[in-house]
Amino acid sequence: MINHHVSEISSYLQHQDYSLAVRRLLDVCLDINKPELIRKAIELSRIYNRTIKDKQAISQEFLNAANELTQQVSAESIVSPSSELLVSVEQVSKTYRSGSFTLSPVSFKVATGDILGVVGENGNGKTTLLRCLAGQLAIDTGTVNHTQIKEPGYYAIKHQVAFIPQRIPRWYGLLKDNLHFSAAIADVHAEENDLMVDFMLERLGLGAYANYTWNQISSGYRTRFEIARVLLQKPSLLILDEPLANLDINAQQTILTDLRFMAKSIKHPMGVVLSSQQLHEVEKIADNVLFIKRGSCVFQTKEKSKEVNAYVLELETVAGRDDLLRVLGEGNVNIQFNGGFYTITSTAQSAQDMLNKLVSSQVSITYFRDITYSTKRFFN
Amino acid sequence: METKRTTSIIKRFDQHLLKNNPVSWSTRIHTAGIYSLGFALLLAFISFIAPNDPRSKSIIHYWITLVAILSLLAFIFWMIYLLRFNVFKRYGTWKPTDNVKTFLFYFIIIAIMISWPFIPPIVESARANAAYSTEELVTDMNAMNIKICQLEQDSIPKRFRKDTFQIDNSVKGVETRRYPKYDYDDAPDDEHYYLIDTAQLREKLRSADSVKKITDSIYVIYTCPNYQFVYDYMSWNYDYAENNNERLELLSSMDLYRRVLQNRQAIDKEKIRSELGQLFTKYSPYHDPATLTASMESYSTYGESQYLSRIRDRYDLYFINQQLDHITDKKFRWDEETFEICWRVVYYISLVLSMLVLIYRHTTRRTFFLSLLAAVVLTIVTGLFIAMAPYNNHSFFMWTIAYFILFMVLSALIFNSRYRNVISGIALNLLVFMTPFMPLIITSYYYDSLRDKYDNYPYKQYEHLFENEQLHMFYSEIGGGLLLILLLATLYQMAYKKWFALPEQ
Repeated sequence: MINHHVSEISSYLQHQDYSLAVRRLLDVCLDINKPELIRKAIELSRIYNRTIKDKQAISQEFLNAANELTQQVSAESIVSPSSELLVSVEQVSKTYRSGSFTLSPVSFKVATGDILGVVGENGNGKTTLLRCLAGQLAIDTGTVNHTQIKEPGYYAIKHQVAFIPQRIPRWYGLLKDNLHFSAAIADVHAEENDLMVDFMLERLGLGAYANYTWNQISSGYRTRFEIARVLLQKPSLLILDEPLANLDINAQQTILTDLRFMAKSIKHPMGVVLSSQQLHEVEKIADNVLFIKRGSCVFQTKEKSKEVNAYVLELETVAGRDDLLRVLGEGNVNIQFNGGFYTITSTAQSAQDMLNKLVSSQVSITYFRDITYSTKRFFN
Repeated sequence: METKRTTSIIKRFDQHLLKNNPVSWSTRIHTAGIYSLGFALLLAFISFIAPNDPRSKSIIHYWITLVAILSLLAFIFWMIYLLRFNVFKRYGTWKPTDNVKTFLFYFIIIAIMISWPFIPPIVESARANAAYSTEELVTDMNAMNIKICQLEQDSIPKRFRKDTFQIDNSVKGVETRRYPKYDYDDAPDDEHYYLIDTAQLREKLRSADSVKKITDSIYVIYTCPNYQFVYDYMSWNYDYAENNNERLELLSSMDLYRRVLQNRQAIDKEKIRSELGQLFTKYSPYHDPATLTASMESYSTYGESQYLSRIRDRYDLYFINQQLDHITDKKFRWDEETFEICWRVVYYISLVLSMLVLIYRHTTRRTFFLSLLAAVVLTIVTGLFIAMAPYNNHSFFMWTIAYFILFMVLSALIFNSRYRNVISGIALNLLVFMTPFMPLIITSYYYDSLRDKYDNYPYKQYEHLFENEQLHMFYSEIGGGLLLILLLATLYQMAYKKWFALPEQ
């Protein structure tokens, strides 16, 4: 297990993916659970961040420290825990008292290390489903069974299940103090408290903002600080409502990758449920994606990915619809244009075949994506 | 440099608490406590160095008003700082004692802030006590009265007032004047006498200057003229002040009469005037030791007995008595009654405010303000009911107990509820708020009922039942606070935890 991580980190260092290498080293050191290694990883991260901040070239000092730490890590051994069921949702439904909206029965399961994406258009029930799962909304029918919680009262559920809403409640005081506090109420005291807060700040790239206040940081950083805060409380299930909404494209990618790594942490594996409009980004990292439409779950990638009956691709090109029909064969495909790109559906040709035909016919393509297995197909 | 070091120590302590004891940290006991105590010490120092002549009229009410405003501002500032960081609303590992700990910390901080206005008067009293000992005051006042009596021994009346009293127990404590002339030699000059009962007579005999028993039921009581030219209205406090195991007492008119006036003395007038002048200037900055009069015009004491007015005007004793009043007013401010009022002010204000803070931190903002609204509405409605209902002494107590039971039942529903209900939240908040007052309500109800029951009996028959009423009331006041603490650590803690964690509908 450790060899896989070490080779992964070495590869990142070799190909100058230093940011990723530092983050993975932090993860691995936390998994090994040795304070001196975690401290070294934190120090390495600080060196890296200083270098980036000063817009300097990566120093030999950093590379030496990174290689030394990688070597130290390779001497350790860690055992990956087996995946365990965290929450089982069976036929859960919810109707608001005003009757304005109904979430139809939905079922799914989340295990440790799993990431569940919930996608759908605005106002279709994603937040309602997430809040029911977090114990924030009373459900009308069905069950939400938190299998890892021994005495599943709502307090225990809310202690174990962290929910990050789209609009994060304001923090007061120094951001770092809030993190120390969250760790302390999760029984992480004294030196361990310092270590874990420093770790989380470095892991989420927040070190430079630790002594700032809520008003001094952007909404993207607020989301990251909130993630850091709840992670310090070691939840077994992390639920995030639209966490990517306030993030730039790079930050989205970083957060999703981090969530992937954190979910599969060896020291503290957890399940992650997140809702988002960023379908492709979510689909890339999620083990299962639920598509919610008008309060009903119409598609789950885990269950139905093998049941597709048509191949669908998105295409952006300067070529006209007639040209495309000519190349792909009229009658074989259905082409829709939304003003920006074409959505091409075919029951006979796979996406790869259609791409090959377009390339060989020298059709100029600026954007292409195979959405055969994506929930994107359900957005109209 | 020193300030920086102090700030650094506070900061280090703050960080230590934050990482090791987040519950205490969240109450800001360390900062609010330190700054409150620091301000109290600063205030004590300022009060100590501020110009304040113990002889001058106290302006302490201005100080109290100013410091009370500062106290209120400090409380508001602390509230803003405290309440926006609503710690309980973060789910974590909370111990049952955490509630009690936070409540006690709130109580201590608020009590310190509430106590600020008491500091200037305490310091003023301490300064007055340091400047003039009780022994010194009594000795000087006696000396002044003796010297005035000596100087005025030829001009002041020496005839005692005579009053005749006949025992008649049918008057039942009402002193009744009668006019028929008595058939005995020593009848009163003004030809009237008084009918009084035995208890009243006993009281009069105790304070009489001289008594003549005519028959077993008729007494003539002689009252010495007033020779206490220098006097202050708080002189009764001297009885409690002791010096070298001897009770200090202000010489009464009778004492002065016996010492000075009973037998005429040959005196050295110049020496006495000189000594009196020194004493006058010690207490009055306006007096001239040579003339024994004040440079300022004094208020006339016209209306008093003629000789009193004359002598007080002659020596301008108005100023002396006024300055003495100012000194004793400051010295003897903290009697038992005042102390009892003061601790209750601090206790109840701190209790109510700390309960409000505690409730706010355990409930949603909406439910908190709805609870306040409900409390106001219920108070008005209940007041109307009590006012319109047929006369019943116990209505208030019965309504209060009924509400307490109702809130208890509604709060109990929380344990079986599937979702967070605002009604049960309000009931729980009001239940918590009423808890410390319930023992007092029940004790008052008990004694009121007892009083009603024995209303038609002679007081002596049931007097013993009320012997310990005040003590029981005191126990109830303290017991209420203890009951609240006990329930906060157990039932209330569970109920709040459960209610807040419930999902919304």
